[in-house]
Amino acid sequence: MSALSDSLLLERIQQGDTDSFETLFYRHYDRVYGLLYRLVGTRAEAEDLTQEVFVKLYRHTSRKGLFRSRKEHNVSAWLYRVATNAGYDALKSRKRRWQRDTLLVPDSNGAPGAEQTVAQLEEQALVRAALGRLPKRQGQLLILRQMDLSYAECAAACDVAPGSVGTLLSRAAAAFRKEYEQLVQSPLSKVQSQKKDSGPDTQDLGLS
Amino acid sequence: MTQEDKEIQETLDQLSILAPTETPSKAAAFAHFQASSAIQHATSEIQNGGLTMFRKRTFAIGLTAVLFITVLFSFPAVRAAASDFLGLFRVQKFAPISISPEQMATLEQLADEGMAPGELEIYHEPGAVTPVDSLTEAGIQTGLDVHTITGLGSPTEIAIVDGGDGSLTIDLAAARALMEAAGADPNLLPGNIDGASVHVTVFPGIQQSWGEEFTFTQAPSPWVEYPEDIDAQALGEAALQVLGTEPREARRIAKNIDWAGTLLMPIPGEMVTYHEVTINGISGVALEPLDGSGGALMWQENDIIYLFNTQGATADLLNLVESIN
Repeated sequence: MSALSDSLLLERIQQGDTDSFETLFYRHYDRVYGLLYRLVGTRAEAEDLTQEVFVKLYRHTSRKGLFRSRKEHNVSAWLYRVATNAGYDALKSRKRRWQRDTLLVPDSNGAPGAEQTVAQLEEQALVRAALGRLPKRQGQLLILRQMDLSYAECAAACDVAPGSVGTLLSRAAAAFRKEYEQLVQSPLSKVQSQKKDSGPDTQDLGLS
Repeated sequence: MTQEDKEIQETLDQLSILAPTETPSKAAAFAHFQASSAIQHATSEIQNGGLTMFRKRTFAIGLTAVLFITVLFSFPAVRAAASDFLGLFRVQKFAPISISPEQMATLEQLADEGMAPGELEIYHEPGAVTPVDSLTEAGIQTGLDVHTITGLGSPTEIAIVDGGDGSLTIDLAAARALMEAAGADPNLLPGNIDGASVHVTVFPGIQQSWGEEFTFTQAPSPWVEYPEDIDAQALGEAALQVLGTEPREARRIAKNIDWAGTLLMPIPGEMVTYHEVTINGISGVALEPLDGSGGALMWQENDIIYLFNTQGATADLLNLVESIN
């Protein structure tokens, strides 16, 4: 794997070196996928969205000087921002689908595997739903920090001052706990718990 | 560890349940990426020396996006005849506003990043082109009083350009974030627009071509329906700042524009010049790309928008348009 910095790889791509894009793809794929999986919760959707994010990166890097135009050299920060927007858009689309459907059809991709219990899936759905209710920047900050990004990396991705990350994280955590508690207390959550033997619609929980 | 740190850590621990248990093969993902049609298309454009074309295309997409946003922000103080609850915007006049390449690039990038002032839903995608055999048929299908440029003879192609509609539900936080990222003052957006729904309808039009040199399009003014208690002037000022106008100048222009039917037209100053012209007694706008690659005339009469394009000089258009019938 190349040890070249992202900035140098960008310059090479803009000079027509397609191998450098492959290096960027391999370098950042796991984290972009990880961020999107945490938001949308299914492998297929997270993979599709990750592809879309890299298509956007490809188009960006093909335009000479575009990253420079906003003094933007931080590829990973850009990727996390685009991925977060794509993830939240997907959640909104899912909400629209859910509102249109009269029958709630469980997402087969979210069906319990051998290693996952229904209770685990319900907890995942609650956590994800609470996350989905947060302002985008708060959700993004929590996910990125949970992915072990440094405060500096979180600041760059969320476009905030590095010194404010601690305070913003604290607020985001408090907001998350509040939303989570409300969801746990909600009638829908209780209904879902009662329905768990027949396969709950955990992916949609809390997105209304 | 402080209490705050503990609470953050507990939340992060709780979120760890969302982490993927396995990661897809990067090699397979990259192979899939390379095979995707979007990449094939972009690569082909670049390899064919089409970077300039590619930039023009993305510029056009960006311009369309900006125009769309501008239309959405150009709310007038006109009551809709059809509804007691909605205002209705129809284009009465064009107001070209020069936009710098830097601001254009910023807006393009924001659009690519998926930043939007709310949730956009397209119910019917406009723009599909269906050829028809005659101007009479085109008139019947669209209900338009058909005009043509008699000085060019019979058109070689006639087509209906399909209409469409969509709506934007404004998310105040997202709209303010977009304003901030575009270098505009987010507080210009009034709080009462949060959750407001704006519906845009584009009507079918008629497109006539004479070879590849001239195109003449006519279509009814699009409709923009919006809650009537919206402060049009504040939104207009916000739109001007998004397009890169200095705050003081944006305020001055916003106060002097009749928002009852004025469509802001962002014009990239380094690529296109514009000036006001009179077309058969009606005020219009002439657009001329600086590279001499053609020109266009745009005007509005009786709620119908007309666009006359050429690969040649705008002066030819002005002579030819006198023969409109």
